[in-house]
Amino acid sequence: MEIEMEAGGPSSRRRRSVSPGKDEDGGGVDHISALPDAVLGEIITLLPTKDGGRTRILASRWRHLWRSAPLNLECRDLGQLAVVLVSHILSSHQGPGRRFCITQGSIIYTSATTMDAWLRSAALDNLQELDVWYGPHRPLSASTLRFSNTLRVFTIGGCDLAYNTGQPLHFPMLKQLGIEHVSVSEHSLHSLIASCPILECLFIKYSVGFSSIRINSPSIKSVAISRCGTDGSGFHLVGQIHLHELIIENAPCLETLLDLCNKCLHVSVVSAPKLETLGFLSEQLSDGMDISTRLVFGYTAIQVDGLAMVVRTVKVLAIRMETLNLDVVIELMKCFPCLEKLYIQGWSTRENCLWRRKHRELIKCFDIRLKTIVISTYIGFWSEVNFATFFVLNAKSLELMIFEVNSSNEEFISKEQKKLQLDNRASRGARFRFTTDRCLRGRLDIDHVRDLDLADPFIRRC
Amino acid sequence: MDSTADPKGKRPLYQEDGLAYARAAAAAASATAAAAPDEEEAKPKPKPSSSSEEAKPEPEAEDQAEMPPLVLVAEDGVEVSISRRAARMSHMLRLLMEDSCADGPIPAPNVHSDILDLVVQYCEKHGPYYDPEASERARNPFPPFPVELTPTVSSIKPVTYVDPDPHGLKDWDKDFISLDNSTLFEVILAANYLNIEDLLDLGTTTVADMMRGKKPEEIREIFEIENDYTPEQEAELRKENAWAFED
Repeated sequence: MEIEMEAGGPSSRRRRSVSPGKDEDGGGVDHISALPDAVLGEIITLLPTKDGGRTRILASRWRHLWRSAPLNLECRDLGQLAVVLVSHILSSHQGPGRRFCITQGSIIYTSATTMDAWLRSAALDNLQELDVWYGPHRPLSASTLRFSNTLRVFTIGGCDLAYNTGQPLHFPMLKQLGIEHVSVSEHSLHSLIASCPILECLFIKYSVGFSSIRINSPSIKSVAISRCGTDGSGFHLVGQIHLHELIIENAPCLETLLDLCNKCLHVSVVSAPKLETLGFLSEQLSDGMDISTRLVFGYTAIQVDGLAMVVRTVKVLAIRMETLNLDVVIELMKCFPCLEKLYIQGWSTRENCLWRRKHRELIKCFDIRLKTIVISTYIGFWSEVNFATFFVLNAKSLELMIFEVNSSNEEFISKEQKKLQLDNRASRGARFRFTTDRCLRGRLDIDHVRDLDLADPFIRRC
Repeated sequence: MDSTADPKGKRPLYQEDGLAYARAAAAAASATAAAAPDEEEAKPKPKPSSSSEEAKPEPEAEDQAEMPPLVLVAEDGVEVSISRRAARMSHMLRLLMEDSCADGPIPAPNVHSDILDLVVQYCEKHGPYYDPEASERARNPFPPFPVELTPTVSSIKPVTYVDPDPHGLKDWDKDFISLDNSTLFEVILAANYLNIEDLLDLGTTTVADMMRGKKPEEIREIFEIENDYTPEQEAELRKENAWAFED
């Protein structure tokens, strides 16, 4: 690795500024106040709401800085009295605004007039990030649309998006769009997406009114659909149209595609030449109903248990399997031969996962290029062991394999290590970790358009 | 091979990153008559060959690699070289280069040479992966939210998310920015003067990290800020901003 340090390790970097006229002894000198107001404002704007407000009391120099540093107002930070405090804070800040988040949990019953007044306050001028829960059936108001030109991140919650403002929507700076609990027609939804010329992340959650979503965007990089389809319990209104299919018609920059729905969603990828991360293909039987994802590349279908086409760009795959099924995983590896990371959420043990002859023959002619495998909920049943040893003993490029376990008991772990034949591993440099942390983020954990901004949305640090 | 860099994933603009860059730097160094040998250029180079065999997709970059490095003059008179590729990271230097005013020594008043060295080091490290268009302020001003929000302190800068970092830039940055306070602020000031957004962001986020979740007294102690309020003024301010002080 090229971490070059001319003078050696990090300790030598704790150097002082030795310029003449400055205090040679670093102690006692207030260097931070030497920064210009604008830079201090940049620092204050990164702080949580209350922390930002508190900076006023540091010294007289700081008194007025918060009032003009772009406002970051996060209602979750404000506790029970949020409704009152928001008005107070907005009136004591002179603008511009950077971030304003009123999510469902923090303020539930704001009247439309209050919300309107808030959005119109000068403290929010030129707002860049808005995360707002309107309350059911409220339309997208003009007071929100006044930020169209400056918004970069926008999450709309609980709104009726059949806007009747008359004027066409245009969000020239918008990069991340989240739509939650919204009722919108297919046409309006597509117009909304089309009104964002540089959109990069799209997150649609728990919304109705459209049966198919077609993605046609030259800039989009990640798309996630969560809890749409017919499982929106509570939101399942009779007569509402539910999502059946997602079609990626033309997305030259698309890298991440996540299907976080619980019910069968048909996903067709017509053109996404850079698709690298695919999430939550699921093979799951629930009450006898087959709710597998149906994934179609080009015009050929890939069922989770059937091979048709080979897609070389996909490197990261997350799957949910009720039963750890080696056949299915192998079929997937054949579909995605350049796969490097495999995240498996599986929990049952119905299949035996014995290696069959076909598996052994496969090993002879197929290079498993996997580098990272994470298996959630590993208990130590023999079926799990069989499944895992297939990779331990055959994946020559393996670098890291993580087992999420329930107990960090040393005896248990060393027993598992023996069962898994780690000594005979195919990749000598591979590391195997047993951890009680929940490394893998599940379907429900990927919850906000911000989550799509991560390079790997499935992994928490553990 | 795509010439659009992804600043988040930091894919290099050039095919082989370290090697090609080092060769290009060598080519640049050997092309100049009297290249001041200094720390940045004296990085271990594999082969000092003047034939650039790497195929750079951008002709602009090719020109840059062959042109001599810029010379910055610190406030103490010491000259510090910076390669053109690295200099692109500074908006100010970029403009100078575009206007072809960058051939002579460029003064950097109020920046000590030690600090200038650090800044140049940062630019040289990040230079190969830098795409001016993608990195403009049009990008997201806020880093992504943390994956887990702990109830006590909700951070803006994520402290727990994992972002696979193919070129080790994040780790390098973390190491780079672990400086004592006075140096840190000098670096921030220099980055502000030279208009190097990425370094400025790195610095301000680091400072914000140090301030987050702390009481004012603690912050004053860390940064040695003198409290010049009278007790009455302070009480008044606390009352006025009571919302910020309740927990």
